[in-house]
Amino acid sequence: MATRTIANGGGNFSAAGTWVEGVAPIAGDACVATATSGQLTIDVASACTSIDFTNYVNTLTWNADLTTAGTTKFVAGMTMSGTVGTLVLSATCTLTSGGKTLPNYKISGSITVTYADAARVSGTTTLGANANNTIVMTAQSLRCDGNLTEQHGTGTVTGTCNVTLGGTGTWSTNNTTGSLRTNLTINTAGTVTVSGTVNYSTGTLTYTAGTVVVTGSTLFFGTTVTLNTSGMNWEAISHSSSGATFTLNSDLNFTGTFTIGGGSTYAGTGEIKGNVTISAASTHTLNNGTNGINTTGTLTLPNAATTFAGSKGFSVGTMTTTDLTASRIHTLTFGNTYTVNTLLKNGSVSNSIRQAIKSSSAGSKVVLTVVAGPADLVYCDPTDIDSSGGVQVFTHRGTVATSTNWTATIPTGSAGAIKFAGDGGGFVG
Amino acid sequence: MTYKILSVEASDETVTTTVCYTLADGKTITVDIPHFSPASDADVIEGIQNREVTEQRRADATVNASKVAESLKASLSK
Repeated sequence: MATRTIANGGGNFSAAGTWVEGVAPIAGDACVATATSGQLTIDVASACTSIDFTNYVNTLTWNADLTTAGTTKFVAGMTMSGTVGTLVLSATCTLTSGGKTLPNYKISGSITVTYADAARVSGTTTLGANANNTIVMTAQSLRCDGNLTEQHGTGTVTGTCNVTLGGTGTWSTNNTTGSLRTNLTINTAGTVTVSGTVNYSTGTLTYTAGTVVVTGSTLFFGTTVTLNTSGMNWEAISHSSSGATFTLNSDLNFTGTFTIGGGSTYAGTGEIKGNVTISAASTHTLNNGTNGINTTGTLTLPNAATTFAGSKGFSVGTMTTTDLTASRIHTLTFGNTYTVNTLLKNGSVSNSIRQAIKSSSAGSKVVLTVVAGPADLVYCDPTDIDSSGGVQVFTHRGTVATSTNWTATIPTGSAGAIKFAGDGGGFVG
Repeated sequence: MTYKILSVEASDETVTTTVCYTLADGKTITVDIPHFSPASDADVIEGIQNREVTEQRRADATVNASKVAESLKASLSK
């Protein structure tokens, strides 16, 4: 590895005369500066193995990309200018920003970047080389004032580096399977646009400030996520994790639908505030907020067995099911209160394909209050359900077992004959 | 627009401030703002000031949406 030193006269990176050694750096070389080094302009796409600008007090101008494959060190005494180029890190390294804002920044490959200080990027931050990269970002923080573009494919971005979306830009990913697994904060006076589906996992996602455009977007989150985003509305949200814990440190607000594809535990003081559709057989442990789910919207139960466990119930506008293709049991945990405020119904069922709603504890009635109807179900069989706190619940051809304020309008097994009583006046019209 | 910090609490890595903003039209709003892993007081203040911009923008957008709706209704009635 050769060392290339910026000469006092400075100049373009690609020019031999810019360097004390009379040779422009190439991949494999170490670039260094002295206190008397002149200004340096990255004029064409260039590469070197490392940068150490200790003692540099002149100006580095970015007009093209510079790829480094090792320690990259800028310092407080220097000046950085230009908006076109990108600092590309292609190998495991330590990045020292020296308080300078990079024009653009890219982690190109499956590498570990250790941040020696707080890094900041005014333009686009790209994580990944458009391949399945596993990236680790360790220590300190990375502030993205422009776009955050995830290009790590199915790989992940992990580590202790705290990432902040701090300006105006778009958060996007090239593969919704790959997830961002660092702490992430939205804290900007600008506008962050969430593009398409973004996958966030295993960290704390915080909203502090900023206009967030979520039109058409989905926040997909994986395992063990802490969310503290009550100051904003997401659009669609989904997860498919089973056995994960999601901690809501404030309400989780969204205008679309939260599609849940796996059974998980919800903790924290926040509540789920929006339409919820459960799409798979699962147990949902609600230990969060006052009501785990608290919405004027709709809770849709799946064509699958579902259990609501935990210490909290829910309060929803409408509770319904998708169309059932086989008999399904939906279980509510005894001791909790489940409230339906507006409408209780179910999807397509039949005499042989039925919905059962039952208490988790045989012989102990769980409270399911329907505040206002209609509350008309079909082929629904309640067991140990106490609905005495609200309107009467009707189940057409249902079987009511030890449940309160439920009426089977045409009980299962009846011949279906209807007797018309009265004064013999018959029907008119 | 001005703001007043009503309270500050720390829990784990997050500092939460409760802040009352007085918007440009004189209305006040109070919001809880989480600040994840702030490095200094300045980080918290920056978050509060960023939120100030956001809340004013929201308020302005709300007023503007109302004006647009009224304008459209007026044009429909002609």
